Parts: sequence; structure tokens; C-alpha cells
Amino acid sequence: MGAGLTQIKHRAVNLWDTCTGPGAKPAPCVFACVFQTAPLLPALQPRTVTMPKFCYPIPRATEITPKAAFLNRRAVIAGLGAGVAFGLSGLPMTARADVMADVAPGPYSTDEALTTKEVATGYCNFFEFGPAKDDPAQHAHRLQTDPWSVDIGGLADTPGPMDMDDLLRRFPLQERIYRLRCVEAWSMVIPWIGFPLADLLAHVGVQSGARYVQFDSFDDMSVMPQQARTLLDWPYTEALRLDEAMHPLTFLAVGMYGERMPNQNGAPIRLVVPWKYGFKSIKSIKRISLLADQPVPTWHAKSPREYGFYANVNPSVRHPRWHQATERRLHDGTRIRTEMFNGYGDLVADLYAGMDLEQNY
Amino acid sequence: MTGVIRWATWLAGALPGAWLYWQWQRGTLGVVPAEVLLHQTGRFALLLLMATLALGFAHFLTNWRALFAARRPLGVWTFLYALAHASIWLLLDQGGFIEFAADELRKMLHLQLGLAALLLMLPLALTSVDAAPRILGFPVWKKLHLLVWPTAFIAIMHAWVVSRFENPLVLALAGLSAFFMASRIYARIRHGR
Repeated sequence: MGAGLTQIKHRAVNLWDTCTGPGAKPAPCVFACVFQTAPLLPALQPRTVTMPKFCYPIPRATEITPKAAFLNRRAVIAGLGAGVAFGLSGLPMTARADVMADVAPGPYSTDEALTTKEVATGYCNFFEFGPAKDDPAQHAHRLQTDPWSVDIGGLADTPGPMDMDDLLRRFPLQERIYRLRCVEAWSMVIPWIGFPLADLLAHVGVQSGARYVQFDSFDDMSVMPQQARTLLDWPYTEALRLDEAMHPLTFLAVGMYGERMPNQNGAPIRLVVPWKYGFKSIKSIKRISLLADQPVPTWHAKSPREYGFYANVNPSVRHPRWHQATERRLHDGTRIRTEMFNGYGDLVADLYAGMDLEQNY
Repeated sequence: MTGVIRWATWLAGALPGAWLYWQWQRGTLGVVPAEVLLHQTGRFALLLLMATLALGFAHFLTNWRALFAARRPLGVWTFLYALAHASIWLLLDQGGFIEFAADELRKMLHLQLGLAALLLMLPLALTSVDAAPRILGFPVWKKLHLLVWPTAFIAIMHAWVVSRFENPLVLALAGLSAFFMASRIYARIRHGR
């Protein structure tokens, strides 16, 4: 069956749900067609459908395989594989340079279907390399990512540059499969490789006055295509509140799909904050600063009405030009309802207790 | 000759849609096919509408009556592409979530303009059968079909809002429509037709 027919089937199911599901009203369909009267009608009550929450099973301690055991197991399997391959082909196996070794499965992974690597690496927002979705895949190779260092600044006990190799050696790598929800109402499911930002912050030492963490991307205009240089105020800057930055979900990714991070996805190191819109997850980080006062991130400065400082995924707060109630999943093109905090509410809602998220969007 | 023009136009109008559908089924419309389908059907509808408006001027230039055989197929295809455009918006772009789509309609100007243009075209499409001018009486039918002019201007405004007031091509379409309309008014005053 073609992609189109599958899509039509999904739409039909959605329509059917809307018209026949609990709390469905026949009126919306008819009224929607009469635009002159539509503005006069009272707002439709949003349907309250209890959707299953995404929950991340927390395994009992006895169920967790000790790291030494699975590393050993892997070595055995790899040895077997290499032996078989060697035996069959008679040629030595060489590992691909891009493949990342010693990656343990991490917590909080979703079991949803993954977006294909081709889509995740071919459909990117990385305005340093141009505004179109395929611009980054075409132009990002110009960015020199090795050697690379991340400059730690501000209210840290040990400020200064940290070499990328040092970061990779110091923090054990894990794989986490996170949902990524773009502010443009599309979403992906991506297996990231990296380590919690909290690990890095603990290592550099957060001084007591620090309340925010600011991230800056690279600002070498010479690698940007001409038309990208004036799109935004470079370098791209993002920021988190310190408690958001210390949250165990907040991740620094150095790879995806088992391999080293492709340039267009933010090599060599990028942020992943799965309960916020994708633009918070800044790519190709050059500088991390601990600050006392709230900084102004790039998109927030450009259009505060459209891009809030918090930018938490919230189906009930519109972007001025579109609603955020649903999202298009790019692995199959279907449209699904967007979950509050992108489905991570159980883990992060406490961070915003008592805050009006309609105001602090 | 009129037969050839009529049937060639019926056939030609189907081609872009068939090509688009074929690409969609083959999966060559990129990562978000819904967006391509939405924009392309909208463009086809607008172009066909412009072609419909251009007929009067073409006749004015050439005085070739057989051209009018293309009028009905062009008009009906315009409506069908516009209908496909609206359906793709509702079913693919909005994913068939009617409550959110209705909410968008209440809030967004470009959607209201688009729907207004589609609704204005509806009576024209319905009265495009042979029997319609007979039943309505030709003068009434002809007056009714003057609705194509407001439809065109609303459709162009829709495109102008969608382009975030940036696409100069849309302004060119507005100028062209105004020119076609002026040529019709001129012909009517000058030749009484």
C-alpha cells in the first residue's frame, strides 16, 4: 500500500475518533465550514480524552545488569562476530570510524518507533547553514569539529576550556531514545549518545550564585553560507534555568544512531532537552556559562511573542501562527496529539510548580 | 474545433493532479509530502483561476469564439483543485483533528479567506452543468458567474497572507487580475458584450 493510502487511513481514523469518540460533537464539522458565523460562536470546549502517558519503567536494582558484565558480554559477542567474519572472508574487520564504542543503554528511553536516520540527518533546522531543511546536510561539512573545545565560563569553580577528547574520556557514554518536538509542530524519535549535563556541571563545580546556564554555539561566520549570515544574531545562544540544566533528563549528546554526531545535527556536542521545543537544544556548543541573571536566548530576542524563554512543549499554548495541539511524526507522516512537556510531565512538571505556563511559555 | 479545445482542456487540467498523486504514491515528495501537496494544489488552483480570467482577454485580442469552449473545464478544474487543497489542509495538514482545525479557522485570516473563496466558487461549480443556465435563465446565470471576480481577489489575498506579505509574484497576480477585469469592462462598454 502506498504512503498516501496509509495516510488517508490515518486521517479517516482521526476523523472517526473526533466524530464518534467520547465527548464528540457533530457541530464542529458543520460550523467550521461557515466561516462568517464561526467567529461569533462560543469557543468549542476542548475534548478531554485521557491519553496514555508515556512512562519510563524504573527497573529494580536486581534487574540491572552490572556494567562490567555487559561490557564483558559485548566483548565476547564482538569477538565471536569478528571471528566469524574473519573466518568467512579471510579479511580483518576494521571498525567504522564513525561508530561509537562503549555506549551503555541509559535510562528514560521511549520504546516508540525511531525516526529513520536518513530523515533525522536530512531534515534539520540549523540556521547557521541556511534556512531550508536540507541546507544543513549540504553545508555543515564546512564546520571543523576536530579539534574542538568547550569553554566553561562564569560562576564555575574550574572555568576554562575543556577539550572534546577530555569530555569523551571523562564521562561514561549512554544511549537514550528521546522524543524531539519541534516548535514547527513536527516530531522525531532519536537515539542519542551522550551524558547528562549534570555530570559536566558537577565536574566543573557550580558556585552558589549561579541560577542560569547559557550555551553559545560557534560564531565562525566564514563557514556559513552567505545567505545564513544575516538570518539571526550569531552566535546562536540558548539558556536554561539551573534546575532545568541539572535535571537528569537534560543531556549533552555527542552521537546519534550509534555513531558520532553528524555535523548537520550539531557535532561534536549538542544539548538535548526533550521536554522543550527543539530550538532549545542548541547545536555545536562552544561555550557554557554559569550566570546569576537570566540571559536572552537568540530566538527569544528575535521574537519573544513566538519563542518564550521556557519553550516547554505545551499543547494548549499556541504559536501565534499555528496551534501546538498536534504534531506530525516524521517517521510515518501521521499526525498525533502533542503531550504536555512532550510526554515527560511525570519527570519535569515539578520544576514549574506554581508557575503560570500560559504566561511563561 | 470547440470539441478539441474542450476535451483537451478537460484532459490537461487532470495532468498536474495526476502527476502530483503519482509522485506522492512513489514517495518522492520529500519528508513532509502533505506540505508539498498542500502548496502545489493551491498553486494549481490559483493558476487555473488566472487562466479562466485570462480567457476573456484572449478572446478580446483574437476574437476567436472557440476559446470559450475552455471556460467550463478551466472553471471546474479550478474548483476541484481548490477543493483538493482545502481537503488536504483538513485531512493531511491538520491530520483530521476537526476541533483544532475549526479553532484555527476562527483565528487565522488566511484560512478564512481561503474558505470564503472556496464557498464563493461552490455555486459556480454547481451551476456549471448544461441545464443550469436554462433553469436559472441565462442573464441570472451570467450575473451569478461574475462571482469569479471577487473569488479571484479573495484567493489572491489568501495567497498574499500565506506568503507573509512577501511574495511579489502574488502582487503581480493581483495586477494581472485587475488588468483582465478592466479589459472585460472596456469590452463591455465598447462592444456591449
